[in-house]
Amino acid sequence: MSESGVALQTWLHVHYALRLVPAVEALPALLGAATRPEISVNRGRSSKHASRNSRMSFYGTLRKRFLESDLLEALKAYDVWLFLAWLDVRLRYRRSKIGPFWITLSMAIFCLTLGEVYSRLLNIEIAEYLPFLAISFVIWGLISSLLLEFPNLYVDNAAYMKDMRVNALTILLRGIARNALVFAHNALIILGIYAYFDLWPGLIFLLVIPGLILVLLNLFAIGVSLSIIGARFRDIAPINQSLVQILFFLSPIMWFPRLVSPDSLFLRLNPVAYFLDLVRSPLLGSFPSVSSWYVAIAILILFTTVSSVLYMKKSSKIPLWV
Amino acid sequence: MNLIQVKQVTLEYPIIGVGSRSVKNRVLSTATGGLITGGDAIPVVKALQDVNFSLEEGDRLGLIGHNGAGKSTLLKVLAGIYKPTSGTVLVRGRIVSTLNLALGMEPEATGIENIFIRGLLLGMKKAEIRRKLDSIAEFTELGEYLHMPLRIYSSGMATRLAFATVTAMEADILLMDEVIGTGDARFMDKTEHRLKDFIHRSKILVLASHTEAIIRNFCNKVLLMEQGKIKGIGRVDEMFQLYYRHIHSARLLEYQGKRIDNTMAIG
Repeated sequence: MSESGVALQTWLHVHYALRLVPAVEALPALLGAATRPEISVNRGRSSKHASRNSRMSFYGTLRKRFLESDLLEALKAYDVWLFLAWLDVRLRYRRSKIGPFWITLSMAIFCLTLGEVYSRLLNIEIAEYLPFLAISFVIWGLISSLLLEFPNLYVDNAAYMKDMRVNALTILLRGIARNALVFAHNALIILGIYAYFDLWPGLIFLLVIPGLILVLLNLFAIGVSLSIIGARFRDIAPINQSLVQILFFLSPIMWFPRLVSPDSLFLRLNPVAYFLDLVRSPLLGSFPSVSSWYVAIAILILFTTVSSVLYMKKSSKIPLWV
Repeated sequence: MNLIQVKQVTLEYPIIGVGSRSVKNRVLSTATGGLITGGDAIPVVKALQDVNFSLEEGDRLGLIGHNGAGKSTLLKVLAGIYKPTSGTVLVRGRIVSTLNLALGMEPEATGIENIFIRGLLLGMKKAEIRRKLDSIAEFTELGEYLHMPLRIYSSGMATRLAFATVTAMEADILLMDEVIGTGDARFMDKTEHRLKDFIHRSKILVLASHTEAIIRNFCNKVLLMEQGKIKGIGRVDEMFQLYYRHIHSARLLEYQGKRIDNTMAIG
């Protein structure tokens, strides 16, 4: 790529990154609408006051609702879900010698075997195929395990939800934090690949941070909806399970996106393809496509809206359903 | 100022799973729309009906009534677990609900870690737990065992640990479903002392129990419930009189009913 081309690309990314800011700001405000509607425990004042006061600006109302929301409460309780997520991972491997690094090891073995076989099947150099596959697979691991967990989230935590007032979003954040930790363990594979193939993506690598944040925000927004629906309808979990399986083959994880035409519906209508691009491309040393940013932000806004409404209307019913 | 205000609270408990929990049924029922109408509605149990009362600092309320009268449900509404279908609940103060002592114990985690898990879930901050860790550990008398995984504890030891953690909380409002305890005879005095202290530190107590002695011991007010409704609220003696009169008349009715049945069977 020519120097000016790189400059243009960088400018574009900064440009879109800046556009991202209002969307991210809108997230808490929108979810802020998801105040726990009843029982103003410890807060005393009900949200009725907010709506009655007509002089209060729209933004002011949103702000006030956000301050009273479950979301803010859950975010403030970060020590709870971070600690529990960390403990979840530790406890699962407590009695083993290498502990959580089994996650890394089993993933590494899987990637190596699959990389060896498929590079021959697809007739691609292993030096090109294996880094792609390993990185894709590590990212897919994060996305798929979360998607699989969401519908059963509250059912699995029913004992807590029926016994003390637990913020449903705290449970959700615990799940996301746990999977992010597992992802961090798996990320070691990527470092191994860099070392082995003597790859270094350069400074573009840093773009993985906003990419990953955007993907996690998306998963959070999707998770709010999916976990509530999953608690109400018990068929959702198996349906979701088979969908995630299909999604694995439909997404460019084992195959290069360039192998199909760019207009392919597999790529265009598949949110996972965009999520993968956002995190994978910087790790492989290239820019994610601008459309990935656009689409991921659009999905985020869509799910934030849906989830806010769903949460506001139905979250109080979860303990009665599970 | 801590208080509890319950106004016209009704709670309808949907019983999903008796035929209408799945999407498949939803889809099928729209396909056969109009044919089967009544059968599609989710059955609802009115667990609480039009419950009104308020409590102030110093009130120690005992909840009595038969099994299924709504005592536990009322506690859960006060704890903020269930949101009432209609009516309002206003609760001011830090609530601690000890409805189930065995909850949230991780078998693989050590005793110390379990203290942290439960403390965090109950709403304590890490620093607060750390401050209280010594006194909790001391009370449990578990010594070295606190650094061992919970799975090797006897059930009594696990209960002791949970009891010590819960009673270390600073509660403005304390909600209890039956009195918590540890069952160990040697430990009984110590437990009772700590429990009394825990209860006396709280500003408001709501305690559901089937044991009259326990209610008389801890409460200065009683609420009698029946089928989700308040049958009466007032002084301890009055309410127990009402309760027993009630049981008595129910037995009498049952007895008369049996006699009528018998006569009819003979006739």
